[in-house]
Amino acid sequence: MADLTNAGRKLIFVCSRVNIPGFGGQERVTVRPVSCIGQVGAGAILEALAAGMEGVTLVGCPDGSCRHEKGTEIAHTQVKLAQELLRYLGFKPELVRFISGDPDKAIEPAAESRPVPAVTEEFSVPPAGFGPADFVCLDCGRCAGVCPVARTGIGFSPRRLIQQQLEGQGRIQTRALYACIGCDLCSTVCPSGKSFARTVERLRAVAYEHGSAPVLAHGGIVQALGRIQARSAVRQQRLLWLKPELQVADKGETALFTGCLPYFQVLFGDLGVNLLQTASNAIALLNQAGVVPVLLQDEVCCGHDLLWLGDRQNALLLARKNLDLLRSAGVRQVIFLCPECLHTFRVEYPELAGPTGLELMHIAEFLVATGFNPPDHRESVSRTVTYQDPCRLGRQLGVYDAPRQLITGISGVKLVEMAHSRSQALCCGGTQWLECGAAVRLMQERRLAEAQATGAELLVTACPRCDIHLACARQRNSESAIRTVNLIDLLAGNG
Amino acid sequence: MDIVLNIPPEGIRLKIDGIEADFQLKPVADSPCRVGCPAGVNVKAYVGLIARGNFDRALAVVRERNPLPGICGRVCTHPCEAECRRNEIDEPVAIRQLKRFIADYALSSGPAVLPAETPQRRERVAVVGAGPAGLTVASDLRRLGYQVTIFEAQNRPGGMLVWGIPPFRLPRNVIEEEINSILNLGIELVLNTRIDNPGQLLDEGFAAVFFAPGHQQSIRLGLPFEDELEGIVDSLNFLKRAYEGEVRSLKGRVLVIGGGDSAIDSARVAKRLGADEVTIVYRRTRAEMPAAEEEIAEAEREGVRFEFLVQPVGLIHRERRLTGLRCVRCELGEPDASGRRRPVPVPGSEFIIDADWVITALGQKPAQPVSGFPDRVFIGGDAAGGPATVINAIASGHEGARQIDALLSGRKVAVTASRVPELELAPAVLTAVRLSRSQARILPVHSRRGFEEIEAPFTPEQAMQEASRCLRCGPCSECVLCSYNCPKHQLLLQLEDMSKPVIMRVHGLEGMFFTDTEPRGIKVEFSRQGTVVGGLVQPLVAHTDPYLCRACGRCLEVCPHQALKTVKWQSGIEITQVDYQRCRGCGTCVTVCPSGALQLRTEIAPADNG
Repeated sequence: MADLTNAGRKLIFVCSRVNIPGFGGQERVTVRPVSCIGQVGAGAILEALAAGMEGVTLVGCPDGSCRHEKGTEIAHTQVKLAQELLRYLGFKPELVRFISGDPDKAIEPAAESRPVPAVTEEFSVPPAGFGPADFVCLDCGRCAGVCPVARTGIGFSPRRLIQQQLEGQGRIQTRALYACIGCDLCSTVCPSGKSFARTVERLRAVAYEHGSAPVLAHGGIVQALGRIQARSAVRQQRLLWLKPELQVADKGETALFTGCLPYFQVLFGDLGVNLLQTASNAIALLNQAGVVPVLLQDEVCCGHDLLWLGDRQNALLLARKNLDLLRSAGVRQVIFLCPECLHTFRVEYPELAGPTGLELMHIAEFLVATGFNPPDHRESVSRTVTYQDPCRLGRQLGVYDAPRQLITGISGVKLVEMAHSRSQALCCGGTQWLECGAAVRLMQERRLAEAQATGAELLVTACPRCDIHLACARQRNSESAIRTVNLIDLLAGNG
Repeated sequence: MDIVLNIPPEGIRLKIDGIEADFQLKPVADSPCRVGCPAGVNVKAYVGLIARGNFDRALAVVRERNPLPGICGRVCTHPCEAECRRNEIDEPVAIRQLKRFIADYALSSGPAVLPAETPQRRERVAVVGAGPAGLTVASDLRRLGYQVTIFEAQNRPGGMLVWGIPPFRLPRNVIEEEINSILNLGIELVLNTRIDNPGQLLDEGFAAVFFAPGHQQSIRLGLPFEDELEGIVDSLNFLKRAYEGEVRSLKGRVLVIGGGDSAIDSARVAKRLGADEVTIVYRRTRAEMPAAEEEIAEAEREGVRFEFLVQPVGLIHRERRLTGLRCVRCELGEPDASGRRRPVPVPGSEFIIDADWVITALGQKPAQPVSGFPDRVFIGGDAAGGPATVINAIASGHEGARQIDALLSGRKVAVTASRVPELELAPAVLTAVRLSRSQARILPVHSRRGFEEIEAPFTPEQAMQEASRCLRCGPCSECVLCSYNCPKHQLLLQLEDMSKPVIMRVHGLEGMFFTDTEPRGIKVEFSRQGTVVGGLVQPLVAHTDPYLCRACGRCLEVCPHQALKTVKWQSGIEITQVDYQRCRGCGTCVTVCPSGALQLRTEIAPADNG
């Protein structure tokens, strides 16, 4: 779904205190003045490329002369970030650049007028498809009792959201709709047996069609990455990180879906996570098990985050791309590192694009099924660890035992459980790159405190999202000393 | 730099929140240092530009209001530093030294030039006296296009700069360079021409006269034999003869009478000429001395001695040659008209100080009365308000130029509007770190023989480091680059087109925009060609969505204006809030915010008054 209005166009962001060197009002160039070039983030840059722009140039004050001191510096960082992502996306990094403007002449600033971001708007849910059959609420309030967001006291309640709908008011506050983090803890206590998170996901799709635009975390860069992969015909270079000693194949029965790991490593490497090491370790473990997995250079984002934003159209494009690629590589079995990708493939793809015909499993399930014996790591003797159940893998896909089996299979490792585990496990606060606020921070701190209270020295995760978000929470919370490690890295002896 | 707004000739009458008031549009509310400067030099601007290494622009900013930066950079009494908010944290920014640095830089970058597009005016203006006031008025008027001639009674220009201030504080080449830079604008200088009757110049075809002859007559002690003895000299005479090389050495004991800058200068010069012992005799205490504290301290360091609370009452002499000073001890009584406590002689406390030389430094007065001149003669400099500092003389020159221009061009004299209330930037809430003030290298006392300059300039690194101590008080960082090139200053006029919302920052109106907790729009109207136009204006600032903030603190790290702070919100949750009075709407915090909690507020309600 290429946006033809932008095809062949270039976008220039320009600080309104400088002019664009050599610019004479060229055609097919959109100039967007900003009051400081430091306000243009990598998210906005990638969003422009996702909308079909052919290049993005940031024109700012020369180094050291930014009136706001750090504006030019930030612009350089954001351009560099965008370029690193473009490298994996297969685009020429030069498409995005920073140039120094001429400080002696300012461009004529256009009136700065931008759409008002929708934060607390309301919208009506059409009755079709959302009747009482979908919402069976007994008004018991148990959901609100367990909801970690409600617990933080910011005024969110799952029951209220459902009741508003059921009572026929037909209007839903988008604030509440995006405040849900989708962990589905409420569904484990709901007598109706419905998934509240999936209901929210469907409502968001309706809201999205109504033009609702929630505030996106990280400047919308994750969603922009998804949209670029959905629409771009450029072949990605997403396996640039792959080390030669790892055995992978182009075609074969079993594939390893690496998901957004290369991109997330660029975005979140500064938190201290090493997601590409996790991916490398996974390949090495599979190789040890005698499997040479198919890795696709042009695999695209699974679409999880676009789906949970409500952008089903682009998610469908992603689903089709992925399924076509896997089928043409002869793949029948896909192993996932990320439970969110697995959930999307297993639950969402059939709804979007029909049955996949693929055998889909988390790497923990695969290793257990193939009788994996963890190598004996002398350095890891007599360690106590605890395990974080990812929401998608545990509550939503029912995989609780496989990761535990692998952990306890490591010699000398003792597994202790947190106060809330398995179906009652607390979310890492990952959300879907939406609404990462004080409520999320509080639940992360609560989770880290629970982990700490077990006396374990390591918090083992089975999801890269948990890795990222717990690393972030830990970085900003010096009281928590417990380290987080991905299950794969623990198995490979990198824990 | 005063902002040039494209204001309709009849002026803008703004109605703000229903209250109609004349409001002078100014680019910025002033920072304390600028308020403190008598000449209105935009201190924060050039300090900020030095901090960024933009020396050319810094020089241009200095020259806007100060034609003699190298001179002020050395001898200014720097009232700006007294106003510096750093005083409340550690020490003031070394503004004088920074000005000197930029002036020294100017020496290498060439003299100021008259912009080619300056409109030329036929009117000739005469300036009497080539001191700092006269030079300033000449420079200002020449820049406005007038034909200017300066008449100077002495054989060289500079006035008290040359005859009063010693070369070890103010090297003569600096004076020459700066005066030449002013004369290069196309100003005629006539030397050795004393003008006693400025009215005559009007008859000779000058349209106006600026009369600044200075105070050239030394005040006498009023003691018997003062004019007849060998060994007693007034400071003005002494300094002039020393500088001209007529007096090359001084032997014996020297007493300097007085407590002002001339007394200190005379004492330090006497010391350099080889006097065995130099003592300043002052009838009050050190605290009451009008001389600059740092000069007093330097004199002390050089070995000058002080006798406080001592008043001369007679001259001791033998064979028409001075041999000593009869003095009386004093104590401080009630404050006099100057606000200083009056010295009262203690009965029976007379004593004698032996002396080979007495230098009197009791101040100067005009050589002739300066009143009763025709209307088009404007009096300035010391002649107008009594002896003052160089920066006061420059301020007097600016004022004279403004009045003369108003008279000759018929331009309405802008009435100084009440200043936009300065936004409080209380040091208590500043996150300012204590940073020690940079010190320039100073010639050690034992090497101070001749008239060599004592103080070294800052190195560029030192200057940039010192300038970056500036707290940037006031509502914008006053880099003034906007004044040079930002068309946004015309946005008020663009408000005429209210069919589309306009986002703007109006410098100097910030105070109108905010309550304690919320930014708000203000209703702005003004009449233009008989029609009232206007609309609602809302400032461009960042704001936090409390639901999305996780108080991670990244924004605090990038905000250059200290506009963000972490506060407790409901349920004790910590969030980061924007201080709207400090936010300048750059949006860098928005870029680094991981959760999207920070957004630039861009919502503007359309005008409802058409």
